[in-house]
Amino acid sequence: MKKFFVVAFTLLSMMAVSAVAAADDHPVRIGAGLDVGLPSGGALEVTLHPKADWVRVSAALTYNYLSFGGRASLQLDPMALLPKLPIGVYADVQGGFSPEASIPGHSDLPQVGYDYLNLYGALRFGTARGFHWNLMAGPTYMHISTNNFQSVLSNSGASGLKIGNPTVDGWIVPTFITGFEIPITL
Amino acid sequence: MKNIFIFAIACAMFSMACATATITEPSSCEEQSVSFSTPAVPTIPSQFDSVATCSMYSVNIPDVSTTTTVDLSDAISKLNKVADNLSVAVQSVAIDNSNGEFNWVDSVSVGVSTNNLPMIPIANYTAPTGGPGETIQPDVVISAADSIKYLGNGPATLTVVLHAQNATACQAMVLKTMPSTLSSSANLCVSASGTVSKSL
Repeated sequence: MKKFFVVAFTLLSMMAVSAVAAADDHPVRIGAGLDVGLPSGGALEVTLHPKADWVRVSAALTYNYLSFGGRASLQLDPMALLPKLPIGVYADVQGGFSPEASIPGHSDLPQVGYDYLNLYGALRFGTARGFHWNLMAGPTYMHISTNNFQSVLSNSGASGLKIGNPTVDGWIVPTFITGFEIPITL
Repeated sequence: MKNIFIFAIACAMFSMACATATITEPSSCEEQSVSFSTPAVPTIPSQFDSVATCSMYSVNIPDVSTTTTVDLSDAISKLNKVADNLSVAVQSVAIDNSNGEFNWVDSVSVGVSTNNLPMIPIANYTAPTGGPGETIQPDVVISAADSIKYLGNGPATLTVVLHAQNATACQAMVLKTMPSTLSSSANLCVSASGTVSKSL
């Protein structure tokens, strides 16, 4: 299921970007943003509006206190076709990862990392072409992996027993992200 | 996919965060030392007790068995505390033969029992042509239902029986040179998974 989401998300992004690449005379806009939420943590984002306001792709560097990770997203904002409208409702599909890492100060505990897919509905406060604040929420599918789980047993003195690294796959509803973006017209 | 949207709507209606997931423990293994008394080798007729002729004569070597105790119940019970619908499956039973001490074995049967439950087969092995390799890995025959019943509630006793009803005189001659006790190790691995649905 994880592979299906990754492939579908990638194809959808490519189709959306190529469909609007040469559509009209809208200039390309790039942007930057900051946001915070679950499960991505804090994120520093670079966005691209490829000659249209109603579609946006972005890449972000994330940090969740355990490790740095990454996130990519595809946003579809039909209300951005009314550029002076100071509010919008849009869809945002995001995929991200956080590598396995130890809890700071607790190297004796197992490492934890995760991959995720967010299926968000969102509110935009501000115009699509200018500074705006976003509030996103919705279900998240997560694949949580662990590493060094054996260390728990080694520390407890259990011998002869070897434990593999458990994984968790499932949905969390809802998760959220909130933050702002500043587009710049090139 | 349909279920997750119903789940999401239900969570939204009650204004709470919910999580539904499958927890998987891919491999919990316990290794124990095992030792067998070297079986008594029947007398080999003199015309077959040479390297040139020993392959033409078969002997029936008596079965030998040993028992060992494994306990994976703690790991299984920890998962059972957080997950529902726990499923346990025996992944493998393996006996080390890296020193070749069991090259004379035709087949192996492994049974499992507990203080409260009678012995049932957990794995069976038939040696391929050419004899066992460096690891004797019987085919698992125990069901998932019996796996959790026998392994999830405390220590379990594994009984390993070595059979050699068609050993060649060559193998019997090698067996005669072995020490009185054959030592090895037995490794039992299980996997477990369960589901979790909780309000956060």
